[in-house]
Amino acid sequence: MTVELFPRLDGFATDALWNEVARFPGPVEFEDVRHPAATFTATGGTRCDFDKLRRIRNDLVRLARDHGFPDARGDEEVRQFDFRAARYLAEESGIPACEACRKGVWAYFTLVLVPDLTDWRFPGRKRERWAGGIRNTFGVLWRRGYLIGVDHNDGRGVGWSCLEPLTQDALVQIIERPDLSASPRTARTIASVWSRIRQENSGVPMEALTRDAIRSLTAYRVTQDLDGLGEDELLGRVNAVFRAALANLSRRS
Amino acid sequence: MSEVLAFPFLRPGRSRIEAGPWMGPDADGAYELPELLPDWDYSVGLGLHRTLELDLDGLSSDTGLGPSSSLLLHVYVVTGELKLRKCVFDQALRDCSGSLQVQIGPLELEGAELQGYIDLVTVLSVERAERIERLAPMAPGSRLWEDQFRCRLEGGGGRLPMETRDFSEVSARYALAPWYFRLEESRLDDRFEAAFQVILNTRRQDVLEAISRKETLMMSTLQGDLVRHVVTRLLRSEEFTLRAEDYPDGSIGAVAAAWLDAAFPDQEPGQIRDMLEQRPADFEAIVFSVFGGAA
Repeated sequence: MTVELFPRLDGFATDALWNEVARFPGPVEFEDVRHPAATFTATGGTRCDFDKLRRIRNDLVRLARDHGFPDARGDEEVRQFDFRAARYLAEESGIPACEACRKGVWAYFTLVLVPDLTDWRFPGRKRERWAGGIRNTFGVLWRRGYLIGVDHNDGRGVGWSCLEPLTQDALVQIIERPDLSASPRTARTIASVWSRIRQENSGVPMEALTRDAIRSLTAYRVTQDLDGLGEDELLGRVNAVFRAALANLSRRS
Repeated sequence: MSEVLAFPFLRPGRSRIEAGPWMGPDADGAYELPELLPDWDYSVGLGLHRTLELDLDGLSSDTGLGPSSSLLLHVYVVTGELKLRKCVFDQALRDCSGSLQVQIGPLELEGAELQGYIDLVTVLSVERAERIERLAPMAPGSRLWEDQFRCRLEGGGGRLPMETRDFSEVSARYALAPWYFRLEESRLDDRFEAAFQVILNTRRQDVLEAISRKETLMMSTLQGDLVRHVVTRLLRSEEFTLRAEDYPDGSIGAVAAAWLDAAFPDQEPGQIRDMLEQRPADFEAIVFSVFGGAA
């Protein structure tokens, strides 16, 4: 199977384009899917054509319009856009995992392909949302979809119903901690326990509870091989940690 | 830099598990997987295997686990700049006595699922514990032993990775700069040539031609500026210990520590940082004197 190679910006080009965005006072507008600073991996596949990149752009813009783009948007609209865009990027866009692992591909998305959507999704121009790290606006959405939603052919099927209810804070806690949740099975298990706990305990401050639970899981992972636990043990461990966090909250209130 | 951890349970001595190197087959037979795999791209899958010798009697005695305990052996692959982790091998060891040879693999890793590097992480953990001693591990998953090997799939090669670009295509503000240094300062354990890059401006033909002719003045200026840039950036990071022995050979941390040792022999890390902070001109003059002098 030939891998489809996506354009990317190296760190040098990312820094330069980001500096221009950061200094620009008005809304950032899309210019073209082509950019002289964008490059492709030298070998190992065939270059994605620019028509496909335009299609991806159009699809993402259409999703954003459904949720308020280019006007101001509320938290729930953002949450729904994030979910649908995560699913689109991980399931339909055709970006192979090896290319999606490259920071430079996501820097191309935010700074060249859909800079207007990046500006709308994260007003305020924080570098981490534009550059190619783990908090890149579209890289993190792909990561959510890949880790929690996508079918990895391991008998668990798809997990979109685990991803959909997660709040922004829960997603940050779960997904943006690669030492804890770089494994799809572990990430989805945490997501499913989070959803159940929230369903069963309406009114509980989930942010505080999630932070406590994730702290415990991160500490647990240092001496225990969380990813190696059997299905039941892993579920039991994550459940226990969330239940303990719930008990801590009750004690404090 | 590796962190020292105090485990809340007994763990086996290093000699109880002998791990052979990761091997990869090629047309001529097996070869030891190198730290840097040349000529790899997405179309190249990897077939890997290794052997583990386990002294289970010794392991039980060290850890306080009884013979009816069971253990789990897993191999994980971590790959990519966005760090994805996948289990590629698991085996339960149900009889925890005697000695055992375990063949791991062959593991087939698809090239299209890898990027940049692979960390092969082998973990021996507890599945079910029969505890003989109070400090024996109890919880399923208790990590008894772990081994990690990194193979870089992309990047690296020359000691000083350079590339040329037309800077005006990237930003009008850099259009006439002679060079630009890219440093991943958070990756102190990474190989120098993977974490650092010099980009030369094709608009500055005067500089490019002087470098291609290896003119002494230009080369010494570039070298002095490069060392100044790297050590100054790293000294501002609290993570950087300035001790070469804290970092793998050939890593950016080890190279920068060796440079600082050459420029500031017999000075403590605090003294060097103070000089950079309080007397930056002296600091830079010393670095340039050592590394930017005529060859």
